[in-house]
Amino acid sequence: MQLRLRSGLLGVALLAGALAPVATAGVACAASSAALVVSTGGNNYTYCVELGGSSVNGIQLIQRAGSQHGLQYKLGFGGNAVCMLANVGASGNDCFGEHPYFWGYWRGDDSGGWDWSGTGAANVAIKAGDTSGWSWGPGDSGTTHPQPPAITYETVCGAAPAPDPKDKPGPPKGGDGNGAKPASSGGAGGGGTTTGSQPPDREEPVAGEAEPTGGKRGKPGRDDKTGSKRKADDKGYEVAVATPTPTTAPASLSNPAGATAGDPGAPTVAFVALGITAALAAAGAVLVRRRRRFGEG
Amino acid sequence: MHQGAWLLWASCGGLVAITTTNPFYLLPLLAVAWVVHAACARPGPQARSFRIFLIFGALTVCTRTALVLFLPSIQMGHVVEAALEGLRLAVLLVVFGAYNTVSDPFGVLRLSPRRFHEPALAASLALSIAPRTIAAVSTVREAQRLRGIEVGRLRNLVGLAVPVLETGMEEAVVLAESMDARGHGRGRRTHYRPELWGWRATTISVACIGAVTVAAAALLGDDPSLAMSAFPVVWPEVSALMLAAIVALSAPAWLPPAQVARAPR
Repeated sequence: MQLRLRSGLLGVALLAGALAPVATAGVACAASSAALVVSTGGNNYTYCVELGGSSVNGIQLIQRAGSQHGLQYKLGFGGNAVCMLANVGASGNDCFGEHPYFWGYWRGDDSGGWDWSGTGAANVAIKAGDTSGWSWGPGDSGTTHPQPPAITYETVCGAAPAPDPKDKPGPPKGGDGNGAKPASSGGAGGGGTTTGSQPPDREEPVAGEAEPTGGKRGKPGRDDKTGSKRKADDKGYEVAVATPTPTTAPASLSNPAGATAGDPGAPTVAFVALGITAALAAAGAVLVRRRRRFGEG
Repeated sequence: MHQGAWLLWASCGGLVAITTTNPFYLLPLLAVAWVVHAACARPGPQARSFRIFLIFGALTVCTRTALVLFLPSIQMGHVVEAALEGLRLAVLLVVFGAYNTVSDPFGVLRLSPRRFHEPALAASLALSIAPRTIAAVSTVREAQRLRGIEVGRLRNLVGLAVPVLETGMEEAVVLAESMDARGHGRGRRTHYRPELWGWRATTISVACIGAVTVAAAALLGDDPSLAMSAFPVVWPEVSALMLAAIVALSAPAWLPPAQVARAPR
């Protein structure tokens, strides 16, 4: 019977152990931006993505690049896989329809090189100052997949982390230092937003269910996007991109995990749950003790 | 109480456990299993199975968390996610352990439908293998102790394994024979001492089915509180309805026990 009580204590210890990591949740990093490099094979695009003080994963980084700089993307498998970036990739319903070509995920080391990510982008937490790279090509491992070009965070974002573009009322978004810069070849002239610098070799009409990225911030940058408007007319997908959707923010629409990411603090119901747990555990202990006293002896 | 009600309780507890990785659902469920075990465990060697399943549950959490070490880069989210998945499995194990201590393995055998004799026999033997093995282990150890063999020694584990396996085999054969003798798989079965489905069984069934309905509705309705997001790690939402459903699963612990305790066999 003593053993049974001890088993109860073991359970409580187990709970405490499982809870300990939860208690440290909600610690937001103070930083501000992370670099994102998209290498389509022909073109390279870099984005300095504002994190806004909250922690994001690799997929959410793409979504932020979409809302801040107009990067086009399409996600699959419940938002865990990247099907299309910068209009390169699988466009239909099959996310890996272009296999063996796919979007490989690389993580930048601090010296400009790249490491093949062993985990999916949805399971990688992006911190400020990180560099993430996506490259289009065949090859299932870091030795066979083409690497993005060598680049450092400082090259993309400058030495000092850029301020949050949300705080700046005046200039058009994406047209200044925060904007996407064509890193090597094939960039569009003018403001340098990537919607205007689509690679010419892959111009497939894309299905309408693609996510309307860039809609939230589309309006202020309109002047810079003349290139995209020109292209928009003959491709249904880009029309959808260029049309602002004023009601909803695309990032939270397409990403259920991100929708709750801003929640600070613990809900009170959670403490009720813990209270119930403690009450039930205590009731069990009392029952065991009573049994020991009156019953089985 | 009717064995079918216990079977239903265990299935419902397990179903609720596997729908969620939210620790604020899993921990109350763990406590529910503990309190039901504490209130309703049948006396005898099989009552130890709860502790054994609890230990296995703790090992599951540790193993699942340790798997994180194989990842190339370990982050907080990985650890949290792995620990919660481990916790889900552990709760499943503990619910099953509680079921083993409260149910009567031979009563479960009696439940098996006679039309599907062979699969029903296999299923009920599988269901009752843990409590029967634990009972056999304690019997054999007691016999060893009486003969002056040191039970704790690792070397003597071999001497433990053989009789335990033998007992298990023999028991299975005896059960199958006795079921044959009682007319299982032969059309008609006698109704000698039928098990009664009382008001307790009805109450528990209603509570359990209600809990599973709430969990299923949450699952189908994509309730965000069911899964805890680990990238980044944030406090999960907790739905009061779901919490109430989990607490309802502890109903067997609060019902007054039946007056006449049935003989174990």
